[in-house]
Amino acid sequence: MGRVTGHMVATVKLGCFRGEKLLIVEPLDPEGRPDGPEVVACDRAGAGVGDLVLLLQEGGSCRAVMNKMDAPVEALVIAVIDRINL
Amino acid sequence: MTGRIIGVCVATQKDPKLTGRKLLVVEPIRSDGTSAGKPAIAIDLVGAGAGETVLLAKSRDASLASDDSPVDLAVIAIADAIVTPPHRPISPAERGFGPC
Repeated sequence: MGRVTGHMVATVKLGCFRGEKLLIVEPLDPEGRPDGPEVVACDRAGAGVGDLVLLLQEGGSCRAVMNKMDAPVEALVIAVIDRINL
Repeated sequence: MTGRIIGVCVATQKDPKLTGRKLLVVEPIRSDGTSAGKPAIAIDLVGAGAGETVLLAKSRDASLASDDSPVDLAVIAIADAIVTPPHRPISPAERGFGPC
């Protein structure tokens, strides 16, 4: 889980990243506190700055979801969280 | 992971898979430009130069991106800009955490 804090603009990049939106995401713990260094994630959910999102941070799973088995992707935004009830 | 190129590493004797590849000294940074760790050596896949902000791939991802070269950090994109709107306080309700 994380909070989108910004996005990255990159013209020169590996071919597998063409057309992908790159988001800067700050990982959060279940209580909403920052949890670890920010990551650069590809967007699969149409998320924007300020959104609370679900992050996939396992490389193999990210590649499978993107259907690009050669993509060196650090994280993937796979859902925008509307609310969490604790 | 983002980083800033702070130098070049020159190595004559190296693994054959690294032949013809540029090795860069990269300092990990946060999106606000502050340092986020110790500098490390990364293989260059996009033609990055000194002072540029770059996107980095780590460990297996780095190896995968560089045709299975024996590296644990790779430069995979040059960041033209990292856009982060100014910070503003976020209320608990807006944060999405609340009672049932």
